[in-house]
Amino acid sequence: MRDSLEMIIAAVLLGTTATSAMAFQSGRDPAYQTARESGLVGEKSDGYLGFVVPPSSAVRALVEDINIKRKAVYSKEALANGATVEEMALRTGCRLIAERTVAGEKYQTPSGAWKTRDDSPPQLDARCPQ
Amino acid sequence: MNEPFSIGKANMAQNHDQLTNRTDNAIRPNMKKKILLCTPLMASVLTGCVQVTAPDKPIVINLNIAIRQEIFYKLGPASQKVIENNPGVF
Repeated sequence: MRDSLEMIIAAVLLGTTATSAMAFQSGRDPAYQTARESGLVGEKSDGYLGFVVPPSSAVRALVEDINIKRKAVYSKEALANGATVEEMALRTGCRLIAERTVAGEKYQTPSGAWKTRDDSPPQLDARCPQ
Repeated sequence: MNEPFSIGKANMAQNHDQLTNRTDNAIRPNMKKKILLCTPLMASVLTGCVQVTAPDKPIVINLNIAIRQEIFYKLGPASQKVIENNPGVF
């Protein structure tokens, strides 16, 4: 009886460690990861997340939180490089769409339309380095 | 009987006249030239008015494209760093 209890505790601990390790590896909040994969949110061309469909309050809060954090890191890095926050955001946006979206995820084309990423190269802003 | 310095005085007076005349002659023709030169200028000032009309539309000088390319080139590594150092946010 006691042995089995210990086994269960060990398993739970192991499970928690494994889950947090996975989360750490991807680095993303699981809710955010799910929202990306299910196409609720997408990468905008300006370096921030956008809503592909009208969001639930939970998704809205999630995205707004991430966008605020993004703006903070853009601001810091822009200052270090003598660029504006918008320039830093736009440049990172190029990279986020080109390198960080995977097939099935949504991104915004220069025309403003949402497109699902597939094997073909994404449509990037004309100012992005080719 | 002449005064002791009369000749000298006369000479000086003559010299003075010559000097004055010479100076006068040196300045006057130049003044005429200057006035002549200035006449069109004065005329244009007096008749006034170089006409400057404001354009209807505001003048927009768009420097965005030139700046962007230079900045973008510089921001390549920075954007990479930002993404790698903040995995939860991207």
